[in-house]
Amino acid sequence: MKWLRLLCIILIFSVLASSTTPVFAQSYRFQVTDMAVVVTVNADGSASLDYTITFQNDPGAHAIDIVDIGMPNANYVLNTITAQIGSTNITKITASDVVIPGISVYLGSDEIPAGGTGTLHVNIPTVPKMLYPATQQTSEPYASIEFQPNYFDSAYVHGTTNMQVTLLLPAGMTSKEPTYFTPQGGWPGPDQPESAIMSDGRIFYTWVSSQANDYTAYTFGASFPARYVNSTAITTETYVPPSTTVPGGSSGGGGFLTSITSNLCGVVFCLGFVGFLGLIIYSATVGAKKRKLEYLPPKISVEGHGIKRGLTAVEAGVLMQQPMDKIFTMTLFGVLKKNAAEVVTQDPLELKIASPLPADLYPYETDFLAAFAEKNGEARRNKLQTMMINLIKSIGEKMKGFSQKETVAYYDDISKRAWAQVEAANTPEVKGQAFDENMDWTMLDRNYDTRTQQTFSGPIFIPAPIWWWRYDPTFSRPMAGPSMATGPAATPASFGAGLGGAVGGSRPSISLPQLPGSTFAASVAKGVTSFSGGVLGDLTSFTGGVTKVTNPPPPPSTYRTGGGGFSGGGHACACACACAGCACACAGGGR
Amino acid sequence: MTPALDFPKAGVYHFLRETQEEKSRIHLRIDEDGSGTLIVNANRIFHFNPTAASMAYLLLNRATEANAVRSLKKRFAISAEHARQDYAQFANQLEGLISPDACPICDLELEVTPPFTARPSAPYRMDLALTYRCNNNCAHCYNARPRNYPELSTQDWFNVLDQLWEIGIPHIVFTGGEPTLRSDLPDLIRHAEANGQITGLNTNGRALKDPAYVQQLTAAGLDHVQITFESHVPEIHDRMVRSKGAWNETLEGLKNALVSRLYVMTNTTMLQDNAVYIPDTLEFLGNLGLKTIGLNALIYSGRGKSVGTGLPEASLTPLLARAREITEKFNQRLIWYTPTQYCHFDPMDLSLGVKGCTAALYNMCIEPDGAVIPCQSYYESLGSFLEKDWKQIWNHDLAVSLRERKLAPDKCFDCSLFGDCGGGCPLAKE
Repeated sequence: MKWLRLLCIILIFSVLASSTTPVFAQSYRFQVTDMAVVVTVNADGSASLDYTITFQNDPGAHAIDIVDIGMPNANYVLNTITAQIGSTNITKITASDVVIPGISVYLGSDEIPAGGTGTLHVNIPTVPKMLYPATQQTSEPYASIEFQPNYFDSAYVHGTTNMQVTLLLPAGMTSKEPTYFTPQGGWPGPDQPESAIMSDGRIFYTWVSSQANDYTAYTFGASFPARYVNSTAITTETYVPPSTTVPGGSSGGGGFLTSITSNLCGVVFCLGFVGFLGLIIYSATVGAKKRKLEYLPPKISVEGHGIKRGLTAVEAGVLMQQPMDKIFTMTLFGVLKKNAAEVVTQDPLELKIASPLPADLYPYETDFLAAFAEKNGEARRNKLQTMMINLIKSIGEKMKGFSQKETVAYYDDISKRAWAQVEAANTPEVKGQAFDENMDWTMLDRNYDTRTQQTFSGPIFIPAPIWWWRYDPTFSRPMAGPSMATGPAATPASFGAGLGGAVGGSRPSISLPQLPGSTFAASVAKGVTSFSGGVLGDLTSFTGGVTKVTNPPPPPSTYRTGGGGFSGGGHACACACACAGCACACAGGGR
Repeated sequence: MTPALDFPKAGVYHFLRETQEEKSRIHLRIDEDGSGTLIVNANRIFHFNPTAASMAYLLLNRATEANAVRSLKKRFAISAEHARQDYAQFANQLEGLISPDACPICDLELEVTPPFTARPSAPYRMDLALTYRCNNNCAHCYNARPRNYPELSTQDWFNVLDQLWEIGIPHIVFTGGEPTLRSDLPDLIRHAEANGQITGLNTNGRALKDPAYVQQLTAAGLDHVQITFESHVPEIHDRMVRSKGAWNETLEGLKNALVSRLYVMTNTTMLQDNAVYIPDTLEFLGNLGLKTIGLNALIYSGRGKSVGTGLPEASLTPLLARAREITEKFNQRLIWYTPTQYCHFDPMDLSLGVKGCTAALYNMCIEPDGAVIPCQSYYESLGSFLEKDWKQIWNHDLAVSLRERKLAPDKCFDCSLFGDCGGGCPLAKE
């Protein structure tokens, strides 16, 4: 144990935390793969800090755009600080309003995007008043310094960090004069640092671990004879914490190191990222227990994959929280396209259901048709509610382990691309054909009705979709051969290929009836209206009947703590699929 | 006025949630930095920041809103109104998470972090290989140790269980060899359950042919059981496990388990011996009423390294696609265990989930003599659990290498699939 008995304050300066606008940081998620910091102790009692931090931003995470670095005190000289991201000099470095005292380094156009990697280098040439006297049982006075490298809120950083921390002491000492302190905070590397005397006569201590992380506070330190620094270099004031200003939180006024408390031994810790700077008193009863933590909103995360591909347009619509009447209309078009039903009357909406049903129906389409087989309005609504509940549950199951945000963005993009191809078509024929092929995806656009009418406005005629007569009873059934009678099945999961095939004109040439574009557009839009009024009744009431099941208010429950056997019930534990990525984590496997 | 509830020290806390319809076992693991992990019924994991962990602790301890707000104000720099609003909102969110069947969409809006990126301080599950003795003699068995391997005493296993609880491991699976050959198995289950741990059993099921023994295990508190069932054809099963008459006993044991309150699943290793019969085997299990089916490929360890009956990864797709169809027909849950290289077989294509090696990350194993190994098929000791400091075991070079996927084949590191796949099972590489 190489800790010296310190009778008074040891300065700990901690340099902290890059943070990326922490108040809004819920989507920040990254790794710090490497971090190296060199702390050079100067003869005047100041120190120079040199940080090199490599960030690996997670796929799908918010870009790392601003890095806040805390300062051990407010005496640093802002205009001497330089920084580079990669090889690009950073031009905007300001005092931080997040970490006080601290600086904000703006990465600007070199921000680190989701999935990207970037190395930030920051040099802080002068931070005065970094040494404190260390009284120890030696024949002469010693100066001491402690250092805590930056670390981040574990909510935002993960993985291991290859960390290297170097204390570079003033020149002139023999190797036996300085003493390092045992690292604190669970440092995973060796306690004993690498050490040598450099050509300029400085002794360095370097601690290295490839298994460190950047969300744990590690503390390093050393002491050395005070005669190696100027007589005025050692601060005799007791260190007290600066006030902390936290966006959105209560705070002091951003003051720092201006007041002195009595002879308490203290160390300064900066909790990275969250912008909190406080004082822990080792030798007194005041301190950590009384200090409040900065408040960040509660955040829950799960491990999982990004985009859930392979959803149908209807399922994507549910995920995108489209109105239920539109979801039903999309389902209706789906079953009509598959020749599973035809509309007998549009208002009120009545269907003639095919028998036997096609084999390629999705479960929700089968449920949908079963509901329309019901003639009683109330019974039909109940079955449609059940269909929607089952659909939502199945989507919930399919989405487990996937990111809703990324998945919604993915399907939103599909919808945009579908529209782009429809709108880019040169002729009404191709336009109509493209729309028909991708109607379900275009309907995911929240303004699809307006957009449809705009796209097909004017005196244009389009070939009626091959299934149109099944939707519009007034439309003549085409005289066609067997291949037309079955109609094209919707292929929701193969948007790209389907669209390409359609636009490319690879289909056999069939002479189809023409339909005024405006009539077609109005008729498509009318489908939703028919549902919201004639079938579902009061949409709010209908939706409430669904959501009370799928997203109910919390049921009354009781908790009790402690052990006790598990006595069955509906929720017995299954295998230990620890996350979406469980494999070996399941209950054993492979015997 | 009731004093504000103090926040807990780092460790794991156990809660039993009961409604009229269901019961849930909930574990909240609090880390040193105040962040937390919520584990629901040992199979759903949520990561909390310190605020969320604090609120969850208060809610699970049934703190009144007023007390919770006081506690939060005491710990955080936050106004009472702000605390009240966030606490109420969080309460609804938490409820949705611990009642997953009641709310299928409650966790959809959670932030999703990439798979295998959590770095817990200890695994979520520890497999205890109580013995390597076995009354089967599978030709493909992954066990690389002698059958007469030294075994810890009952008291030692009690100590192991207690220490596992202390380091925050909420889920124990008793395995082997054949763990039912240890006469103290019910005692060990009872001890773990008394700690607050969820317990499971991996077995060949033969001992369960005795209903009284099943009753003994359930009375001790056992939560779930996984029974190895290689084929619905008795001759194939017996040939694979190299024990005549085993099939009859296993089936009887399976049936006894199914009528108990245990959560029951089977596991079948897909090999050349049984591959063509897998669909029929799954139909058989579906008709038995199994709700969860496990499948895995050969594990390249022990006899598995030389048995030569493994299926190439590239041939798995049609088999598992068929398995998916059948299990969907029976409304079963299909669990695919084997980490594969996604360039050969991508489980995502069959909606089997992201599968990667989680050895020394989310699960580990303790051998009969107390040595910790990365998983129950990776026979390289990281140190004796009862003798070595846990941090040294957890941060053993091999454990770290597996966590950080440093043992993946060189070709994998630049692959776009590597984040999910991780290079497959490290044992298969060897």
